[in-house]
Amino acid sequence: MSRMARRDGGLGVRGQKDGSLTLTGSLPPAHGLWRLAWRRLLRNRLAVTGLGVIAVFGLVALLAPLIAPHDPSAQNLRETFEPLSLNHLAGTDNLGRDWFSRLLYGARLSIAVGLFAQLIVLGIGVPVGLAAGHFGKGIDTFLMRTTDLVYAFPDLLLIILLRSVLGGSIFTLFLIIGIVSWVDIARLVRGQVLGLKGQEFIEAARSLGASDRDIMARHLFPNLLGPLIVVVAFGVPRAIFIEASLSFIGVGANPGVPSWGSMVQEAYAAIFSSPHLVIFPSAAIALLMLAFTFAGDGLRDALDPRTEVTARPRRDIEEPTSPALPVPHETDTELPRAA
Amino acid sequence: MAIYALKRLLWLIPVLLFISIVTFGLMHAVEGGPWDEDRSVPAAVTENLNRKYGLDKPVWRQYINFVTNAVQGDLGVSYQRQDKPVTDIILSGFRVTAVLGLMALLLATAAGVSLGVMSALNRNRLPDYAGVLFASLGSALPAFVLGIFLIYLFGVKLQLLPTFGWDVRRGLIPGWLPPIEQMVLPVITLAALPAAYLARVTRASLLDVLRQDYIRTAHAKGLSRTAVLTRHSLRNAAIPVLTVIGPITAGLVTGSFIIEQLFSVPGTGRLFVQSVTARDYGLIMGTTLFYATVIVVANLAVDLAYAFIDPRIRYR
Amino acid sequence: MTNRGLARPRWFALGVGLAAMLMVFACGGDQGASTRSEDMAPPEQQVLRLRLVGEPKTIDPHLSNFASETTLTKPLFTGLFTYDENLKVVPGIASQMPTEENGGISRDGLTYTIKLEKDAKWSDGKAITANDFVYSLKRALDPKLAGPYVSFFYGISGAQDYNTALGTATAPKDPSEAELTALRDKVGVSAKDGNTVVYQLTTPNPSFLNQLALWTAFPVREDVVTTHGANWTEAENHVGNGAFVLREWAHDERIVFEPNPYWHGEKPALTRIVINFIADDAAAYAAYLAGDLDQVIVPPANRRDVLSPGSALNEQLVRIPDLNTFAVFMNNSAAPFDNQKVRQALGIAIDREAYVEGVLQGGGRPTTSWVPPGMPGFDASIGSENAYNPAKAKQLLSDAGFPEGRGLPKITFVAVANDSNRIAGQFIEDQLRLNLGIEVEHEYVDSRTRGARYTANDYQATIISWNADWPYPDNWLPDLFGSGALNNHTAWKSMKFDDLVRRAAAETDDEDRLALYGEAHKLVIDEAVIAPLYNRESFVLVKPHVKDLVITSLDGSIKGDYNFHKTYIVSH
Repeated sequence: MSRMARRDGGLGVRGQKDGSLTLTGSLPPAHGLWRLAWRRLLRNRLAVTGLGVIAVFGLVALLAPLIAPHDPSAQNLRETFEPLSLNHLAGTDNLGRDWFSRLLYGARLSIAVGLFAQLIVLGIGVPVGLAAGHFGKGIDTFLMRTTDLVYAFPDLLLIILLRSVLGGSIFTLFLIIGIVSWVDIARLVRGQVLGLKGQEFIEAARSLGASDRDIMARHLFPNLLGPLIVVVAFGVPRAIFIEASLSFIGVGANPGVPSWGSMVQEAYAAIFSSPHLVIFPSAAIALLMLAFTFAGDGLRDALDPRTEVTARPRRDIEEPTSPALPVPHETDTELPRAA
Repeated sequence: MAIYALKRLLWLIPVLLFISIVTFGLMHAVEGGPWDEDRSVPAAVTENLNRKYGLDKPVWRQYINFVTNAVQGDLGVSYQRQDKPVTDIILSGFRVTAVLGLMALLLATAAGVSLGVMSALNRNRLPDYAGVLFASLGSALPAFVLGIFLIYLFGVKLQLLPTFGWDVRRGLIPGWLPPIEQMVLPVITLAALPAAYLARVTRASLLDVLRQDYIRTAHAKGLSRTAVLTRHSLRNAAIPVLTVIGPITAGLVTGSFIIEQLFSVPGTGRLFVQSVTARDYGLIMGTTLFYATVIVVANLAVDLAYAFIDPRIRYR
Repeated sequence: MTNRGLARPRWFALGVGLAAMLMVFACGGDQGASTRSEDMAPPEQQVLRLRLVGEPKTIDPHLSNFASETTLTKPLFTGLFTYDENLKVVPGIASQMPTEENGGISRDGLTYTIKLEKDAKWSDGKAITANDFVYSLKRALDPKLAGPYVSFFYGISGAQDYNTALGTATAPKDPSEAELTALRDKVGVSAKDGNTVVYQLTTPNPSFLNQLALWTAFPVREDVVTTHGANWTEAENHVGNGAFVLREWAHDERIVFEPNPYWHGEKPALTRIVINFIADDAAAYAAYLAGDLDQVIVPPANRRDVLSPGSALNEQLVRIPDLNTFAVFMNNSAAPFDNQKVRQALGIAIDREAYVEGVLQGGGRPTTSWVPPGMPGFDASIGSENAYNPAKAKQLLSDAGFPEGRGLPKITFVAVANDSNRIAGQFIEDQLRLNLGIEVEHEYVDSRTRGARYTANDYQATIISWNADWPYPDNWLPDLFGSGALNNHTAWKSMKFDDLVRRAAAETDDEDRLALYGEAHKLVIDEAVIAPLYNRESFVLVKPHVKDLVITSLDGSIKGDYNFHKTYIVSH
């Protein structure tokens, strides 16, 4: 998905190619560190604003039935394409439905697409990356070759074909976005694990007789949480964006349940006579994208151990800093694609 | 290095084989064949069509025929395009798509990098916020919304630019580049997202470099701000930027359905969607394998380029 | 295509009879090419800029079937017959209309002897001969060419045998080349002399001259096709016999026509027709607004803009009722639509007027009958008892044994995934929920999947849009509702209907024949085989400097395609 997403959709996970996701120092799990990260995050005004917007949108999604002034699917064919009014805050659409209420409900599917697609992405990507990085050798080669295969598949084609084979339910949509996006996570996780493997605390755990499962679950995984949170923060808006683009191509979610993406697409035909119908859902998508981007940036900075707790963002140049740009972890035959 | 590159290229063979099997299987699993329409044709006419295109054989046999022909460079014909050879269609479309993609890449790089530098050097001041906002908006507007908005503004309202077309016969460089006025809108629309993205990466990377010891040392040595910036900061900050340009390039030259659809650009980006909905089997296989090759080769190029840029990386 | 009995025909009366009923839409004042206005623009401005949705599959008339393909064949070729602005069949390359009186049609209605216009020429200057038409029909029927739209000609003797020589998927045949040639030679078309072509039918066919006006009957040049193969339709190879010739075909971009210097009719005023391939409706609309196109079809969502009286756009608006009907087709062989009352209830529960007014912005005509206005056989009174009436619909559903929809099997419509179908789908779901209290669902698939399911009877309900090939009800009834007919996918069977259409086909008097078709039509609606919804109306914007763009209800994707030779541009 990422290739298409870079053109038509949101930010790529491979966006973290500047390497800032790749932790270089050792990072033993410690509660204090999370607290520090949280404090750093709260100091970042943009990030806090982003988190605030996400929270508000989340609330809107949850409370849509309570705050929506109209039934979002109630049609009134005598009031189609109405302009803005007190009764219809965002006008009405081609079936005379209240666009504002649809916007409120649209938050549900849009956010759901973002979150569930990420769950699927993580559900496939993390185990594959963990296993590849931890076991190495044959398993690594096999899993990485598999990701190569998936990666070489033109995303758009895979999406359209899968959509045609699997049908058009919303779940299918989550699944498809997930299927084409997991490769990046798998590579990222593998790179992280390779970096962590040599660290002393893993060696220590192993010498104490910890099983592979223990090491992966109790030692490796917690250390991956930071980067994964960041990746999810960027992945959610990307999935929302992909959904919007798929709607345009005609393979998006089916109508009935509005999503912002499908609302933009539905209204697109009327863009010359009723531009507000396009502007509102586009603005909602843009706002949510911005919120996730700022929150994601903030999280990345906060979780990056190189960022000093005492650092004052306003005076970068005087700040004491940590070592240079991260080095890719393995240079053997292949770079992590996201390197 | 050469051996490494060769190994990677040989890897292409199993990749293509795998992808061709999966695609072939999926496309035949999709309900409905190339001749299914609301208006029935007699069974004999369908049979005539199937015979003409070799679809009367079992699917496995069709696959073997496809592979046999494909290794000889024959990807079959497109039922939806006057029975033209698939290779001809892809190659002529790819020329358009690649040119459009590279133009967008140039614009995205120029705009994105300068915006990123401007932001980083003015961190947390007005130019930075303006830059971040612009970059964010560029990545937050769906391309079709941005595109139709630009068409409306520059084509309909201001009457400055044409609303459609990509005519390379009467262009800047005949056969390659269309007239400049036809390029403006599609290139801007296509470049918006990568530009925004590059701006973000540049900003982050430059900020990171500016924090490094050697920059402080350079300042301490009494080098001028400009000298520090050009000689030390920008050069080092360029590494991560260059590494993301690789995949961006691969993404841009594989084409965009939305941009091509919106601006009537005769590229390859639309072929996927069109070929699948029409069950144009030859074209589906052709575009898939062609792009799989492009992706694999582009990634190889990125990895090799990365080794040139960053001397710490060695391939074996 | 269906059986038609023997009779003495007076088919020629047909075209005359219906001419008056059809509508014409000529833009910009004067009718007729001879009255071109005096402020005609200079030749270099005689350019008509049009839009087509995308690269056509083909422009070979024998391989075309979609409106976006056939629309391109009409300026490039002229058949023996063509349509005038009143959709009357008139001579094209034929020198006159064949009649029984002039010996053109034999008394048994089985032999058509058609004389060609003496000075008719191909676009390279060669004379058109009867042999060109003999070759063309045989080529169109060639099973190896695999033309999709040839079954209309199965009424010509030997035609079906030749076209079906390869058998079907379940019963394939492998004839030798010699056998194929023998079958080809038996096709009932011959050149009586260089200037006279004779068609031999197996059964009388009231629409045969209409079918000879179809694109599939257009002539192509044997030496051109043989020399260039599939590439004969490229601009550098193309030879046609229409008012225009193919000057340029930039694939995926545009097609350019220029006047055919050897055309036998009046010389067109236009010096170029540029047909741009623009996929996106909104982008095409913008292109028209920007002045980059001279004609565009207005998408429903933008109709409000062009409807406000007195506005500039409103003055450029041409509204064309198409020879088209949208209807809900139901699988009559499976529950719940095997129950006539359920089918009827569904039709009565849908407020068509609200849909046409609200969603289509008036761009259509609500209907309860199948044959559309503008066609002989149209009768608005048919199905009037099925007008929107929620109380009646509920009662019918209850009578059917499903009070308040209780016990009704789940209903899923299958629809092609596009904007207008999604809107229509949500509308129908809403109507049936409100007026019948039942929940129906839609499955949106692509057109191939829908086509596969519909034609295999593997569906419950779907909306079908039917367009006329030619303006006569035999194109609308027997083929769709006859028992076992090729396009009967409602699985409805009625001996009475079969009998009526068989008698209609055999009837010689046009009025009597139409009365029989009318009865058959009424039977279909009375038994609620389908639920007609509306007749489509196209909204077309035409720039004021385009004059005499003659649009008929039979035009393809590009409006005016039959008559571009009459169109001209005034100074602007």
